Amino acid sequence: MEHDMPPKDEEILDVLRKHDDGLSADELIRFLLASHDEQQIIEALQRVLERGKVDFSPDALLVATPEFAQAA
Amino acid sequence: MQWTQPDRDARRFAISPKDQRTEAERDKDRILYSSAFHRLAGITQIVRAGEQDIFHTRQQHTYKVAQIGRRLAENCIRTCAKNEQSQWIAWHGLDPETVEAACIAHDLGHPPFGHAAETSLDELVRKAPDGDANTDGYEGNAQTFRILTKLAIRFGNDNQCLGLDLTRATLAAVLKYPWLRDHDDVKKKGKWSAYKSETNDFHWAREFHPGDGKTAEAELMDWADDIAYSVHDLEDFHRVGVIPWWSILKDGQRDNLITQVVGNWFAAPMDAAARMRAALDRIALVIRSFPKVTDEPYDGSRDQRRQLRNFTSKLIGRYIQAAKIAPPESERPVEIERFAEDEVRLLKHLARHYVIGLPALKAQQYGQSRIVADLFEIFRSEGRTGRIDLFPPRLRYIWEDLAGDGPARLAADCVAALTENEAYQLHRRLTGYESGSVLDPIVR
Repeated sequence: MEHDMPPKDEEILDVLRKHDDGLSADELIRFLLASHDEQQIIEALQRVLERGKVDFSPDALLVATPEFAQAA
Repeated sequence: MQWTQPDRDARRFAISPKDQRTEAERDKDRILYSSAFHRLAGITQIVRAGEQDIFHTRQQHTYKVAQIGRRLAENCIRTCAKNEQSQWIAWHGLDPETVEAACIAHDLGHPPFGHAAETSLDELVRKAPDGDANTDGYEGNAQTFRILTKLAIRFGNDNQCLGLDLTRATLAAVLKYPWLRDHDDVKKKGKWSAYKSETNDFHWAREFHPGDGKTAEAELMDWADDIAYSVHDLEDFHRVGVIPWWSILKDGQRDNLITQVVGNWFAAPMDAAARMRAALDRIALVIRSFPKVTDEPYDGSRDQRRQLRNFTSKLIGRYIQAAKIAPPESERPVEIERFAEDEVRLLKHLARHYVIGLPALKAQQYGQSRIVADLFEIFRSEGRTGRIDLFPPRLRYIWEDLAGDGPARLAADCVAALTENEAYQLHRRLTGYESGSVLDPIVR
């Protein structure tokens, strides 16, 4: 994980933690676009989904999974 | 109604002695080793087995249903334990091994060529000439029950025990539509899980479950089937490029799709269209995280496969977690969250919505229905006059052991015992189009 290209997992989790109801992928991308390229964000999103840090709510929005919902 | 472990573990004949396995484990192994299960490698649902080697065969589908069914049961048990509701599990009776066994069995009765052949066979059995007509017709689920209780070979035929002699729990778990056919009842005339010829086995399996409700294990088997089918159909047809994601997501075909899903929904509620629209919106939201699925034609690149796997994995996990065991005495022993039920209903329809209308498929199905009709008629007319030496040896026991069930039922049994390739080969031989080799071990 230390070799991950930005945005790092924690940066994505930080954005999601600020939105209890979750965010759509488009909204997440918009939040991060100021500092990252869209392709990088999509790649980072795949990683956090694979690592089980982020999941979909019943409303199909991206949310931090319970173990990662609180800041470390 | 509560049932005890001895009620669940009972077998009608109990010929083999107990061994180191649980009764449910023995059931699962018996089904897995049956020739009916082996046959599923040569069967598909829509597109013919082997075509492009992309589409799931019935056997590959079944393995996935079994895996999902087991995970569903394990998750329900863990969730109940965490919430101090383990007595709910005991009350309903829930064993992951039984769910897995039912999942492995659930499609054994699918005839070659899928649902088109199932419809043809139903009509052929009901309208058979020479006084052979059987109003019970043909149904894949009822055929599954018949295979498990009568047609599968495990024991000698001299002790009245035909079939696999499974436990009551496993037999009850395969009854997805736990009633006999009733032409006067809309619900019971289209789908049913046992023929009248298996009435005794059916009532024995359902002894502790009066009414039309499925057991908890049957509910989980059914949900596992729905999940697997909706997700892998989507995956198969996505990979061959027939799902127009751009149009679905950008609203070009949304209304048409929703109308069709609602039209196919038996006893659809008033808000069916609104629910399906919301489900489609949610699917669209999920899939936005996987742009390589929607924005590019599939070419099998690493990144595409990774995103497709992420997408399908998230869907399966989402739907597994949506199932919970209900309290004792509940109308349904398993509760599925509505968002998941709606999404799966939509996904099940989505892939085939874009495939069913393909002209090549229609022509293929037309030909397959003719093959089924020809084979049925040859089996019926020659079988009723005792000319079973025409039939492959592995099918002759059906006419010897089960003669009382009538020529139409036995002819349907024979057709349903074939793989798709066997059906093509046997049809060519019996109709004289191609003689084949006399040494051919399959059709000789």
